[in-house]
Amino acid sequence: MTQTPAQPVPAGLFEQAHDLDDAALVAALGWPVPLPCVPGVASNLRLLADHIAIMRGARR
Amino acid sequence: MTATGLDALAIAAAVRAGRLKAVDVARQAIGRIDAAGDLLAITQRLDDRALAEARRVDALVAQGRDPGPLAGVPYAVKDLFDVAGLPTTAGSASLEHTDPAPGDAAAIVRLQQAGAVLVGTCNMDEFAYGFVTDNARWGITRNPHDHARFAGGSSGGSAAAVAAGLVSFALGSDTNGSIRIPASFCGVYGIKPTHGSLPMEGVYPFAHTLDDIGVFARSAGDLALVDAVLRGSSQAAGAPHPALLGGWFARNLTPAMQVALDDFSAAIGPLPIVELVEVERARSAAFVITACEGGRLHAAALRQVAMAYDPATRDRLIAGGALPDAIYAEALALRAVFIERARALFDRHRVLIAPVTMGPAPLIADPTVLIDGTAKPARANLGLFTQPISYLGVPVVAVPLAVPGLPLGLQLIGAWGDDAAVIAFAADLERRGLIGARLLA
Repeated sequence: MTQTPAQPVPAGLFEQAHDLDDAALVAALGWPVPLPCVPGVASNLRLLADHIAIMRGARR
Repeated sequence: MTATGLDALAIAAAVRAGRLKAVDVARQAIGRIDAAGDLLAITQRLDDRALAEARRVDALVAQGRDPGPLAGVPYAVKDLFDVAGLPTTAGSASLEHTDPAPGDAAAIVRLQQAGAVLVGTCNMDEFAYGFVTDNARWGITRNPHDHARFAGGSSGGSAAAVAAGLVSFALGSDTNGSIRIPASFCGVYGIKPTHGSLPMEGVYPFAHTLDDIGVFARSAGDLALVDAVLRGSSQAAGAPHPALLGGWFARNLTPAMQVALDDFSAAIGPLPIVELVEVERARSAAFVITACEGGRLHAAALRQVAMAYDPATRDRLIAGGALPDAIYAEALALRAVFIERARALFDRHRVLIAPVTMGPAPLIADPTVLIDGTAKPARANLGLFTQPISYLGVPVVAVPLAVPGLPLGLQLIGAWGDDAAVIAFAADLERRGLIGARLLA
């Protein structure tokens, strides 16, 4: 059921998620995300970055 | 005789004894759905099928044959179960024109064999990715107890249908809280069983590591009966030796939940307070697994038809699909550690108790929850207390507290395979008047 993405995302994308602007962050995914999705996708990438940090032991 | 107001056990007993006709029970359920107004619990009516199934039950009774333990009991299923002849949309407009399912989901087959009567499908968050049942195709399912509030999600239509008395029970699915949260907000019972213990064939997946189907019911007895039909057997229960989960599960509570929890603890007698360590890490790992598995499941479709998705779901799925294998593997690996720590608690306490949510259902006009003093979107954050329990894969029953005001729920959490213990504990609490469903009919 779980499929590997067709194209791997750049290493460290989530570690840099808070340092990039929306357009740069979403562009790093490597596929043409429709323009209306860019702010929402960027916001969710940053949210995931926060959860990855917590999962690794960072405190909120 | 009317079936309105009766639980599933009473309806089945009356149908089996010939005091009620299953066809009349089905017609009454159809009438209640007609009268439900803007609740938006049911998305697709199955009137013809329901009446045909009911006639079959009545014919068996007339022939003196066993119609099954759920004879004539009307129910509904979340929009992600295969129903023969209907496309399985999982609440998404993007799947409305797919081929109809060739047969019923395995769970529906078992319920039909037990004599239950399927009357409709229920609203949900698109692809089960949300906690509010705000669906771009169908609209928002309203909370039956306050139409200005969410019913919870993602199985909100199922919970609302039971609380409003449209059906006697309903099926939903729970990945991170999608049965427990709407059950709590709507004031009914809901179970997420031990992971993998109920049949998933014919159920549209979301995040397979955490997905389960389960039951919404109006009493602990009904929950036990339907759960037993679905698993094909009954289990033995034992003494619960309960304990209250503190720490993470005692933070961020609204005043109403704090009072309810204090009153419950006082009524049940002194309860030891125990802690699951590093719950926050577990919750975030469950969040990552869900995002990754959901995102990968939809990756190919999103590249083709992203704009056909609900925007609130689409952006989360696209982001989740970007998670690399290494991070996904980290999230899975942490699980073994967390499970070992939980196992030590279950060695001493057969049932752990925790709130389902921080407080009552949020207002639709203010879809936020307060976490550590900051307002966060309810759609993504209502699972603060349910996600870590999903991560363990243990059985959990959400039970409605007997409190004034808006419904509030508790999680009764058992060890792996100990579903019967948590259901039996719920029945005991119900007998003592500490919990009970809040029903409109």
